[in-house]
Amino acid sequence: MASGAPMISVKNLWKVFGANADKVVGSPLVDLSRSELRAQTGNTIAVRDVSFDVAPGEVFVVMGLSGSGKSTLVRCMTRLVEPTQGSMTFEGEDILKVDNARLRELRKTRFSMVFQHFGLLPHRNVIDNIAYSLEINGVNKADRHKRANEVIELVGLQGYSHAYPEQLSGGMQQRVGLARALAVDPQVLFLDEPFSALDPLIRRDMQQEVIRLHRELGKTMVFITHDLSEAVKVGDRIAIMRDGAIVQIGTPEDLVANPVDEYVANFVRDIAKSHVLTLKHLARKAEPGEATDGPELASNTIIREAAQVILQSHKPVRVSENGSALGIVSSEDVLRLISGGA
Amino acid sequence: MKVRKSYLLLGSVTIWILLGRLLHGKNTLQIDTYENTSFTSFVGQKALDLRGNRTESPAFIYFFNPIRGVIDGFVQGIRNIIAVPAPNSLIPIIGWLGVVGIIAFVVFATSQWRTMLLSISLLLACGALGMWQFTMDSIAMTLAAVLLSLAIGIPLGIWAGLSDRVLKILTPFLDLAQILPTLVYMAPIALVFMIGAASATIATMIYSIPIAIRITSHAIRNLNQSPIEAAESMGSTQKQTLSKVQIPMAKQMIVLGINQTVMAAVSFVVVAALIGAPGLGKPVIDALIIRNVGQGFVAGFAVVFLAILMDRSTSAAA
Repeated sequence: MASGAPMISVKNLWKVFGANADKVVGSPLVDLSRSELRAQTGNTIAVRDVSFDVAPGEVFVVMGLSGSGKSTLVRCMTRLVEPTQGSMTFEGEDILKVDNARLRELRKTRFSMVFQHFGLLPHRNVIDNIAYSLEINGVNKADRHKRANEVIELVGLQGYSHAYPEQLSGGMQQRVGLARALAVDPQVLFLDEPFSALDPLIRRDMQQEVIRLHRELGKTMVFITHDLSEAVKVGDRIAIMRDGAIVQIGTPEDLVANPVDEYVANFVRDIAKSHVLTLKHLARKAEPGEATDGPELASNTIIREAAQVILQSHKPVRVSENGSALGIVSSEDVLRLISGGA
Repeated sequence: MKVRKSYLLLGSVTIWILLGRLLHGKNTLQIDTYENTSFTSFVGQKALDLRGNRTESPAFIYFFNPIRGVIDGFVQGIRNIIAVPAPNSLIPIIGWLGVVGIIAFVVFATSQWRTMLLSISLLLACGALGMWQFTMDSIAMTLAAVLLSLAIGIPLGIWAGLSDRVLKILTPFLDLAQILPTLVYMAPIALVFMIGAASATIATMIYSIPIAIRITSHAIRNLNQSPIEAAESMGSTQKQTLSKVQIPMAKQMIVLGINQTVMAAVSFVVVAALIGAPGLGKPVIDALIIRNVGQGFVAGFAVVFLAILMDRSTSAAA
């Protein structure tokens, strides 16, 4: 994660659906349960006092089950849904306060969005779908087709420029969605459950694709998903949402190693710990009789990546952090973790 | 409660019987039939006044008469091209073969050659039945009414598709226009716009515009919202979203609406002969008056041919 000023800073964001929504925020009503509130006032709190920062170049994942408010949250950030209260600062500018013209300007040039159901224009072929945002930016036809062809190549859609969306598989359609989002070279990419509608094999390919694009282009991403393994795969940090509020924000390792409550613990239970945790988590003092002259590995190595070295070594591996020794990790420690123990 | 209600019912029946005995044959409170009500004579007088005022009242001079003039001119313009050879007009006289050629050309441009062949044979059949002139007049009337209906109906339909409020305001008018029996509103229209092509066109429009509006607004309302949201997320203005996303996506459904508008107009133009529409309605009504079944039948055939022609050529475009 990059250091310095955040690119996006969301502060105390609320979204309440229903009439007189602004009267709900800040009143004792917010402590009612969902069904009680709906029965009393007809309102629903979709996003509840959410705050977080996203650093430049970071992939920030918002993860939650359906109805947790994650899709509403991402729409509030670009005001596709108008938030009830709070602020969302992008490069020092409060997006929730800008006028419509400025908002369109930001959407045209800075933000892009990828949708769960693709949102492609059925009456346009691939290249004109991708060129749409350039078209409304006033780019002439030759230039926008040139740029569209560049991104077509970037996402691997060569040869499909003149196909129509309905002729493509779901995975291909979402590639068009990605290409369209990248066409204007935005600073932030919002992805709303981009792969939830795809079958598992295609989904895995597309996750790899996003990781590759992120590596190549370094775009800041806000990625919404209901699938924790996807979150762990693509995310630098993950925010877990429940009933509109953020329960915990942290790196995948934080969440797996130190879940704040039962809810998060339940979520991360199925995650293979060796894929997420680093050697730091396993390092322990050498017991009497154990060799302390095995090979040395850095403490931030993911256990899965270190496993081969550790298992092949006859002696426990020494773990070091910035030159100082943290302890040792033996083959048994790794096997115990992989088989589901501590 | 139940007991009280049954007492009430019993009581009222008793009173009813008693009063019936007492008042038998007296104070029968007879109500007038419609010919004699004061409301009928009031409306009748108003209508007479209106007719008398046609040349003086500002409502006529500045509103109704100009509308009549424009629509009459519009219908006559179309008739001049295909129906009535106008001697000194700018448009060359094309004759019946020319008309068949034009219609075949238009149908071929919008659909396939099979529909074109069908159109040609239907037109020739109308000619063979001796209904050529009437058929052309009907086509001209239909065309005029449809073009005006669509010019008003499609924009209103799109607006009603985008705005709940507009739909709410329009709905009662649409309901009224579709529920009123056509024979009821023809007379008032003829009163205001006089017997002739203008009245017939307006009456046809009242019948066909609701269809154009309803189907267009339905088409806009039932679009997949996901591309629309995507367009919005890319910074489209409302106008851009409408012209580049919503209307193209709704196009097929709107064309279906056009087809239905045309069909409504074709069927109404026949009835509108009652208030002076030129065309196939004339021989039909004449046949009814003189009870000439054969003539009515032949004209009926021509109407059917015309309807098939109109339906196939517009639905193939969809």
